[in-house]
Amino acid sequence: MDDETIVALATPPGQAGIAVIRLSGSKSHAIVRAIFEPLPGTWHGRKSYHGFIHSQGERVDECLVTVFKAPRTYCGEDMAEISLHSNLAIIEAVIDLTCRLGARPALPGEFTYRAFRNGKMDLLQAEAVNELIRANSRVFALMEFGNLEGRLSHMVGSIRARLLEMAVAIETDIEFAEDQRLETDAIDPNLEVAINDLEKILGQSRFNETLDQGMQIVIAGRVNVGKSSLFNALLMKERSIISHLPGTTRDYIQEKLHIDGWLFRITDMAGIREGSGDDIENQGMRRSRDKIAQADAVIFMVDASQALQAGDQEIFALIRDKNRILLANKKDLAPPTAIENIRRAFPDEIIHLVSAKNGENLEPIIDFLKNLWRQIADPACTTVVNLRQKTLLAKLLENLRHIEQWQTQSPIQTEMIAEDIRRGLRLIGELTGAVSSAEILQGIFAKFCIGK
Amino acid sequence: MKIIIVGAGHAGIEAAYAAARMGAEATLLTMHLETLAQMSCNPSIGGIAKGHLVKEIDALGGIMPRAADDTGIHFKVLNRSKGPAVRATRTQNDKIAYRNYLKSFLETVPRLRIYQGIASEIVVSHGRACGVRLVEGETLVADAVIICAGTFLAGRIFIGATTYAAGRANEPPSLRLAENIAVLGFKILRLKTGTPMRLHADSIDWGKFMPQPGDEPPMPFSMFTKGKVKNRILCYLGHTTPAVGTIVRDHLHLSPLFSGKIQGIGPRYCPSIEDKIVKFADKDRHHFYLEPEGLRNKEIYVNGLSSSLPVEVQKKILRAIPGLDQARMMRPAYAIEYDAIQPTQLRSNLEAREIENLFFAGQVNGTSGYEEAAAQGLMAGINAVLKTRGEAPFILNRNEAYIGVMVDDIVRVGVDEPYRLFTARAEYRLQLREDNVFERLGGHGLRLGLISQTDFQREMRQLQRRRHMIGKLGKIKGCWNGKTENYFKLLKMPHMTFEKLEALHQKPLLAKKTLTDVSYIEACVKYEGYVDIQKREVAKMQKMQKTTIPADLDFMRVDGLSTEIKQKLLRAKPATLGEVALVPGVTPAAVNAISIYLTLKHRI
Ligand SMILES: Nc1nc2c(ncn2[C@@H]2O[C@H](COP(=O)(O)OP(=O)(O)OP(=O)(O)O)[C@@H](O)[C@H]2O)c(=O)[nH]1
Ligand SMILES: [Mg+2]
Repeated sequence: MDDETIVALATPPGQAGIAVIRLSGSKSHAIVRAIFEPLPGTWHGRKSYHGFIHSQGERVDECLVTVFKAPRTYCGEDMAEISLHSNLAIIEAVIDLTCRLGARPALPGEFTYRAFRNGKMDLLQAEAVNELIRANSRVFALMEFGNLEGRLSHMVGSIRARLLEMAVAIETDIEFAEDQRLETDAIDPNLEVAINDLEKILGQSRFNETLDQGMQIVIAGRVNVGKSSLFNALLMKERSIISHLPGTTRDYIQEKLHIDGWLFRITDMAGIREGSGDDIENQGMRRSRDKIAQADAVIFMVDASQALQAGDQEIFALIRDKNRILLANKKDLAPPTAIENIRRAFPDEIIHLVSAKNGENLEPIIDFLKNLWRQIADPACTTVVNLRQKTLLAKLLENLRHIEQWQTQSPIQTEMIAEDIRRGLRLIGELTGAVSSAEILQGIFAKFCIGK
Repeated sequence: MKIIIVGAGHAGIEAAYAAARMGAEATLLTMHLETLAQMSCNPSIGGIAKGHLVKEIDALGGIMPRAADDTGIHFKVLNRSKGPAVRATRTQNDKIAYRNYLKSFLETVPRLRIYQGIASEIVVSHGRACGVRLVEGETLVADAVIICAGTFLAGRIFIGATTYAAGRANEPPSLRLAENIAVLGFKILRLKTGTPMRLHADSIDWGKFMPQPGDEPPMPFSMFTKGKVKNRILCYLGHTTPAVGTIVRDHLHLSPLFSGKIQGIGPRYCPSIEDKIVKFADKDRHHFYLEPEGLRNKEIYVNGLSSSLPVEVQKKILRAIPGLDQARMMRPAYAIEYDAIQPTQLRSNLEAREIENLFFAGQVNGTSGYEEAAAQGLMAGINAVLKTRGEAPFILNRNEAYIGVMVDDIVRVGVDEPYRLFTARAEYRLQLREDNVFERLGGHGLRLGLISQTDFQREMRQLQRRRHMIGKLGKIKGCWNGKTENYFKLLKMPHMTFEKLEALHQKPLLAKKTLTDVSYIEACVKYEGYVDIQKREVAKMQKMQKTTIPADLDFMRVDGLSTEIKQKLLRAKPATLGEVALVPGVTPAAVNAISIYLTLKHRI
């Protein structure tokens, strides 16, 4: 019988550079083959391959893939390693991909456990791994601690309670109802709240969503203040067209930006100006306004080489409720009094004097961006929660939907619904600690008058 | 090879019979020949989970199912409206006939000697049991000893303020054996159970109660039962009145359960009437069943009114129930406290961890119920023989049998109240059915010499017939509710049954089909998806189970385990990594920590 194939991030999360995703188990080679597109002609005859991970026809990331053939591997079974850019969104996307193809997230220390089980471990390795397990359990403890009062834990807790309640009702029905003439309340088929909660956790939690899509940043400002110049400077490539003519950028341009493993989607837009330009430009500006409304944060830019204009204040009014950073650009051309005038115009803002064209004083922008992540979550903890728990929660969701579906069938398939409920409780057990049959029996005896 | 079985209750009988069948000289020791196979409490065998056990005993050649069929006077399959996995057989039995059947039967079994005597001491030499000393002064020598003492160890009966030492009403307890077991170093539990009053049939106004007929046609437990079984009596359903609640509450101070005189822990699933009234104060009535104890016997068992209140109060209670207001009590209800050993002191073969060749089975292990006792007795009997032969123990897995679930639960987790089997305790409930018991255990029965080659072959043919039928279903197509599908897929639909399928087919698919046939076929088809998942889980688990844990492993020294988990492991004494993972509260990380520790320890 084949073992399950397991997958996990092998390098510490949240650190810059390269991330390694490790797979172990009989399916690991097949999974990698399915998502990896090697550079032409490189797949055969070598152990390491250069290429791309792709998903639905799109390249996710450039990477290096190494395959290891059993038994001479760390775990003693077929393994694969994918080295890619250390970016949480990418890492998670790749792990998701492998899971869709049949891998499952490894439990803490599971690779080592397999290595041990397959007789592949020597003393040195075992010692090193012992450390790793301790580290892992620290992450675990943190994770559990972090979640204890958190929304996630609360939701999982209430789903657990709901399932337990259902288990008590249905198990009572199985063990006692007929003989004991119990008036067990019909099982309340309402799992809607639980299903909604799970959908929320899985789909709509801000962090998860942001992790998937990247933090949305827009660069806003009047025409010609130097937005596209900053955009290119941040991306370190000539992406937007720059010219001295106002209104150069007409539609918005979005690009991915990676900073220390974090993903941003940064948008350069049409400059906003009062009065009328041509139609196309007006459309572009309307879109700019929409983009600002959707953004997680805004980089607001004014031109320090000129006097402020009414348009600057108008745009500022649009971003007043946004997370923002204020830049006074064209530092090199700015007269000494310029910054004073701008400060006076925006008395409550911190203003950074920068030069987009010369790449001067851009560090505060980088810090501002990185800080945005810190504001929504502790990155290390949440990632671990994500990778392991997300799969379990998705299975749980599927399980609950199945139960709901069963309950619409007639006649009621008692013992099969009971089986699904027990499976749900087992899944939750992997998240929060097991639900034993003793606990269910306890519930039965507390609620129903059983007995001869 | 000599094996002594102390106690001729339901556990002792199976132990002795299995041991004798397997070639041992079995001595079945009983205090009183007349009370061999006594049903101390209700006149009934089986029920949900318990019926499953009885069927398993049957597939392993045990005698309880045959005795239950032979003396059955009311047959019922419970949960008939639910799926095959949770359907279970139950019989009402003639108590006297049951005793007589078993005594006569056992008297004819070769190598089995029934002997009246009172055990006072287990003879232990060099950490190994080698005989039993009797109060009468005699010492019986043996290669293995099986203790099946039921509720007799230091038993004490309570009725109101009255209390006296007894193993059962008016039968002396085993005081010296109880002392001896404590002296041998066993950790003792004090448990409690109870039994209701028995009433004279002619003093009951039967018209006030609702008759509960058995099934037609009645289904036997045993695949060896040849003739037809027959329903001969009715049971009756009744209810207490609010007045009963008042009487109980007014006299609660007289109940030793509530005055604190009884310290033993009683089973939650079998509460006394005073327990029910106190705990479920909002219910103004409680149901009970009237069950005849036999055909030529006027005693009626009042299932649901067990109590430890004084006899006078019990009478008042009866007078407050319409239909029982004139009832004459033949025996009062009573509570009994007794010693049991904490079963975590046993190995999975039911042998004491500290004393070799000493086995324990039944209520003495903290379980309750005739069926639980019988199943343990059977396992202890088999394992005592295997042990003395120097062969590997016979251990059933949790995915193989309810017997496996039960033994595993009690030796691994232990008990804190009298343990009763529930289907909810089985992780693989859909696979542990009455209809596939032969498939699960028949091979073991044959290998151990407990069922004959002829019987095995006959049942095998039945099984093949069913399997063949299932194979055929995939090959025939039919149209139902506008859907054209093969029969296998049609049968998977919730509202489809084998019977409806035959109607659709317009002729029988299976000739001379039995309830077991239909049940087996429906289960295999409908549970397919679930069972597949479970089988994968089992395969995974078995791989892990192979890593053994040395008996001398000190969990306190394993890094990375919480104190709570360490203590749990110390208590549960897991023998393999698989067992570690099953201990409640143990996390996957803890399993890893232990496996790492084992490696390090091994290498150093
Ligand atoms: N001297 C100086 N010139 C700059 C600086 N940043 C941008 N410029 C110039 O300002 C002009 C406009 O720059 P863009 O980046 O195209 O400005 P924009 O805000 O994108 O303009 P629109 O797309 O038209 O709204 C270009 O000629 C740039 O070279 C700077 O820091 N110093
Ligand atoms: Mg531009």
